[in-house]
Amino acid sequence: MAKWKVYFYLEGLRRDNAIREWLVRERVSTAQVAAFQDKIDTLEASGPEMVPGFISDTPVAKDIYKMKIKGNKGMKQLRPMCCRGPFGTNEYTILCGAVEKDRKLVPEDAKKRAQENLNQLRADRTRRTDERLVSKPED
Amino acid sequence: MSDLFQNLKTEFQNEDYRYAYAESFLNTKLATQIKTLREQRQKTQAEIATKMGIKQPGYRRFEDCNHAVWRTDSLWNIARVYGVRLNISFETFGTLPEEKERFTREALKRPTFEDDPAFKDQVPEESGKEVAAEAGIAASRHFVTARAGEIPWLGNSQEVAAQVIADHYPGRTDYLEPATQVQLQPSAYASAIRVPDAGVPRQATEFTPTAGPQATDEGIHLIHSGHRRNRKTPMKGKYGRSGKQPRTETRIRTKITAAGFPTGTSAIAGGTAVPAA
Repeated sequence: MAKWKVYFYLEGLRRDNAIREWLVRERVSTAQVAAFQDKIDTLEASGPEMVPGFISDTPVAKDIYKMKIKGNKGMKQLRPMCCRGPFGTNEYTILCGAVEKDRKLVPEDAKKRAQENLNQLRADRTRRTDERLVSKPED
Repeated sequence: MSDLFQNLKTEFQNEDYRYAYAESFLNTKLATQIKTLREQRQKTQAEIATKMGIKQPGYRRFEDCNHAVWRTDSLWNIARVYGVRLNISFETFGTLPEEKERFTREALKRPTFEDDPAFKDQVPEESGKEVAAEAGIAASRHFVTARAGEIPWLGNSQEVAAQVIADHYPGRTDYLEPATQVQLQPSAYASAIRVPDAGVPRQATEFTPTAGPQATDEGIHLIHSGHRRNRKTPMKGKYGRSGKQPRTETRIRTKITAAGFPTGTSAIAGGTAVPAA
């Protein structure tokens, strides 16, 4: 079975990992980061059908899918935006972070941002990385 | 060592991280297996929900990797609907990466009890018959093997029993009767089932059926009984007319009973042993 790969969008001039930055900005707990990383690892090892409910079945905007990492009581409801590919079949790229609050996405323009980042990525395929959510001590 | 293991080796140094990671994987594993079992049985969520006595949206959450609060009674309910058992165990963190790498749909599929290979040929109500039939086939094979000269003799009842069990229930030592409970057949009978040099003692006299040890609740007991005739006078019919060497006929009745199996079930395995030339 072909292995899957999950990439993270690199934003701005400094090309920071958009998702890592967002997790820090939102002060997402260690437990939620671990749950997020577990789902990514399972997806990469076994494919999206082995993590049912992690990625929305239908796009929430053109080419954009919503990831779901549910938080327990008091935790944030993480809803990062991602796309299939865009350069290979067995890959996903997480384009920007978002949380769900009162059934609404925060930031509200998360889908639009994701689409913009996808366009940027299509124009420059080096704008992504396959590192892990938590940086290693030597990073 | 895999890349995943190398990464987790560092990340798991944080206790909160490793517990959250393991919990997330458990939730994913449960949800994915529940979905896989349903698809394996070609059922819809609504059909399974109806069987469980709940509504489809209520069932749907069990197939979501984000579902985090599992009740054992719900899991048993799911297990019953899919005809499988629930197994909950505590594991070390070290086994997680390997478990993750072996996480495939095929590995999660389970047959129903009715299709379980371990029970498919042994419907509980008839298991005694089935076991006996199996033993009968095995006993036949012993005869054939003995006749072919591949083994010099069949052995006594205990040895035959042990062989039959070993052939058909590998690893099931619990089916073997404790030696102390075995009452070996009278020596006449023991010699009757021996086939030295792939033959049958020619001078043996009429063999009287005997009974082996009685069944107890402890396990399977093999009972051989049988008769053996050594006709010095050619029989009327086929052999009589042909004038060929008289054949010695030996029949062994193999009876196996076991705890929980209906008693009185049996299978007859017979064979005609050809005297050694």
